[in-house]
Amino acid sequence: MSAAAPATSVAVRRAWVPRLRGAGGLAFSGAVIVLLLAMAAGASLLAPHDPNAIDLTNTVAGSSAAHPLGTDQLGRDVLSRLIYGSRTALLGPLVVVVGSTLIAVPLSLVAGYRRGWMDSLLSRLWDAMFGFPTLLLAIAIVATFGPGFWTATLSVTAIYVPLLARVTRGAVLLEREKPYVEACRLQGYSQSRIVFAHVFPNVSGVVGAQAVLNFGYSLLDLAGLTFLGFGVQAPTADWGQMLTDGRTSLVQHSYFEVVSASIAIVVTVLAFNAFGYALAERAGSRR
Amino acid sequence: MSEPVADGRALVEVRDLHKVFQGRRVFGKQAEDVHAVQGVSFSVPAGGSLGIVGESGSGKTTVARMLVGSERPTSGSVLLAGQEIAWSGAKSERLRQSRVVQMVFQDPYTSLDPRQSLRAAVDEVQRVHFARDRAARRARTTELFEAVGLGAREMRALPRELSGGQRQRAAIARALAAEPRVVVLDEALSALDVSVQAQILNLLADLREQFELTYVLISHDLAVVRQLSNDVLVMYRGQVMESGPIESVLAAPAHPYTQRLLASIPRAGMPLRQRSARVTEASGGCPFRTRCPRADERCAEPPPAYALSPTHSAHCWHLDPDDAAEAVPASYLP
Amino acid sequence: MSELLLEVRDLRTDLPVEGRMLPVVRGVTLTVARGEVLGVVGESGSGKSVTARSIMRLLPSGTRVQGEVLLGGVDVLTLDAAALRRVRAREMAMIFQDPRASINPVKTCGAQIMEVLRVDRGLDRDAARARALELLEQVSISDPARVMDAYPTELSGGMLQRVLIAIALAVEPALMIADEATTSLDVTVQADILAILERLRSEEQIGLVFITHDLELAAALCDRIVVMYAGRVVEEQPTAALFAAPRHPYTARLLAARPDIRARQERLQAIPGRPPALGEIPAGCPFHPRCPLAIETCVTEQPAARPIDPEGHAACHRMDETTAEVRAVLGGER
Repeated sequence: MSAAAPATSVAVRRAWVPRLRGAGGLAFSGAVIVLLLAMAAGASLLAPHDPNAIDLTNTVAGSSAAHPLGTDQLGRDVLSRLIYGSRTALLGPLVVVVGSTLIAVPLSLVAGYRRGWMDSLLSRLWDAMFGFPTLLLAIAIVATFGPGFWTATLSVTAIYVPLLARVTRGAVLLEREKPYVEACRLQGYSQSRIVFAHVFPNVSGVVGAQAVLNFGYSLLDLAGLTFLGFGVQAPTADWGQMLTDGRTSLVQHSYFEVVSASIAIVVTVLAFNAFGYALAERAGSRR
Repeated sequence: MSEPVADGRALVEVRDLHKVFQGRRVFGKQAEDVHAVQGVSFSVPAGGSLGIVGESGSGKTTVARMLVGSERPTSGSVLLAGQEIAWSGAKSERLRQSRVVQMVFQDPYTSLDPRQSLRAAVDEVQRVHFARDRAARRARTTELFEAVGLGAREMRALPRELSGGQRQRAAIARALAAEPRVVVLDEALSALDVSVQAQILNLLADLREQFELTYVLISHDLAVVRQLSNDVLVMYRGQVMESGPIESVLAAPAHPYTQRLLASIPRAGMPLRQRSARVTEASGGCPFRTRCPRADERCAEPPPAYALSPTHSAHCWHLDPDDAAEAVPASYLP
Repeated sequence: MSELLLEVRDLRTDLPVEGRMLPVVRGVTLTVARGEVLGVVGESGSGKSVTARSIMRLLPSGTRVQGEVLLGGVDVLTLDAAALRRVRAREMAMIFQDPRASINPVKTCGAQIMEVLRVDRGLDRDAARARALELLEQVSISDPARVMDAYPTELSGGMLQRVLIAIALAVEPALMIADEATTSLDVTVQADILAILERLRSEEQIGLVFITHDLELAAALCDRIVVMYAGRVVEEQPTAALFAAPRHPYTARLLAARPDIRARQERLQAIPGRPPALGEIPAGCPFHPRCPLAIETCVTEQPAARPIDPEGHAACHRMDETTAEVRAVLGGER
């Protein structure tokens, strides 16, 4: 059947491809993510000081041996706060992504495949939610239930459900038209078998990539909420919290808090975005 | 054409099938309804092989989809092994139907689940239809793959690792796994290279004998139909123009459209005559009259079937005088 | 029919695939004279489309093209961007397989023809309109004014392909390349397009390269046929001679593998295996794994093109043998 196994006479040269895309991008951003996870997990080992240790004699200090990134307005070590801040920075988005996925994906899979009233109803619901600016909606929810890490996180989760639902639905709509899905129908397969055993694996690539991208975006939303005072509350070390606390230090010409927290957020978001795009590329090229 | 159903042996029977696709309304402009299939009737005996030939817009694919239950007719009926296709969607009905008729699709690249190994696909069919244990399923899967000419390596592979011909073989194996009696081949050879097409044609002929199958082959290629089918149905714009045993229809095509089709088939030294292209369409009566050299006012009335022989008939008011001696208006319900 | 319009010498094209450079065209030499139609026939992986695009320099960046492509004596491969644009505006044009993909759906057909006339030929609006109408008549459209104002979505595939030919003609090319230009069209429409191309050849003396996978289609239109396999030319002969007495086993087998509309064959003579995928091309003669005449030499040595008497050449180690074995394979016309 297949061609007999002959030796290839063709000399093949490996063309050099820039390594930021494709597998390289995946590896590089993946490595950054792993580092962040390590930082969060090993915070107690890595941080030189207790992040909440107040020292009013040494407020807004510049860089020194003991405090490489200086101290904040309450004398707390900025570096330690930065390291410990990675915990909420990773936990919050994780809850958002997992939560929104668990809600949005099964609903959209079934609704998108079956179409009908369920699909119409859900689409209207997502459209209604899209009508509101995300942050305002989150603030409204938080205002109702009181601020804090969990309220903020759960409200942002609710915000991301429509986005993921739409992406999933789009992918499902495309997939269900393909002949192999029709072949499954012709085989008499039940709808649940078709949806979960056939359609889902084929949309999981796109959906997974979107979920990873949402990680970065939700981090921005959570940090923003915290910055405005609706999220993580003082004295917990958190990058968004550092941004808001750091405003006072800025006036006193100490940039460490704000700059380091900003860089940390940017690096994390970029890493997750790069990872998500690389995943999406993988999902696309696999076909 | 096969004998009428009176003797009850027709495995596939289609009676006066119609399918209308509703026009959509876009920005206030109402598109016209498309009458894709108009009054198509035919029957295929067990073990037979019918080829449905037509160009784009002929309705042949819609007929195929109605045969397998993917599309619901606007009117008319489809009977498989004497039973009408159920449109209820009840699971037991669907399962029963899939044991009678299966389909092999045109595009080998999208007709298999890209995430599923070929072996798993065939195994899954068995799990849904039969109460076999894993060993028995494995054995049957191996049998089926051998029958279609694929080996162990291909069985374990994902579709994207294989060529078009190999995928099509796998699609055939999957269709056969449900042990159907009728296989509808919807342009299943059109996307294959010539050298591979020949292999698959041979394979299909072998399988038909080995598994006692009945084929309905949809194709635009008359040579392929000649090779694989006993009877042929020529369709144009949703209607049957001519039908009969393939030898008669190709040796003595009676309908002007069939003649035009045959004349257009490329071959060395064919005369290349220019014809103007018109944008207009006909409505009512014979759909071919805008392009037909014999058309006149009578053609505004849909022509009945004229039987040129007990099995060969054509729908035309203007059959050749030489054939006319035998042409007798005959009602065409099987 | 005198001077050579197009001379392709030892064309080699490599495409980047997943980080590697794979040879797709591996040393193709061919010629086209004015008013001549050259057929390029091959299956998937033969490199025929890439050859066409190499001649037109329509390949994505990252491709490497070597060899010479002489159009009227000038090597197209060495031209700079401005010179290349001039050649495309004056001397060569190409039509592709899918007319709907090759045309801009948001502009009327007339606007697109006129655009070419105004940009490449410098005509003013009125002159362009008049000329566009002329061109549409040249491709046998009976109502050119209506088509001028129509959008591509309003027209059928066959009509659109005519429009595309009109656009190609607008540049008054000396050379036209048709890459599977009729493959997606109905067979009756295809016959009309062939007639148009034939007329263009005889009236305008346009040199045409006609690419297809269908040998019979090539036979209908072409004066000479080049058969490609795995990126190389395996045979080239005048059409009638190719069919009567093919000198390469692949050609012979390709001819034999087609189902024949005149009669069903007991078993089609399929070629075992399948065309090699990119990057998996065998050493020696690329056809040897599937060739009924393969010997030791074929596995290790690539056959050079040898002349055929009186015209043409083929690349087979055994083409000049007169043994019964060889004659049985190179049987000729069925």
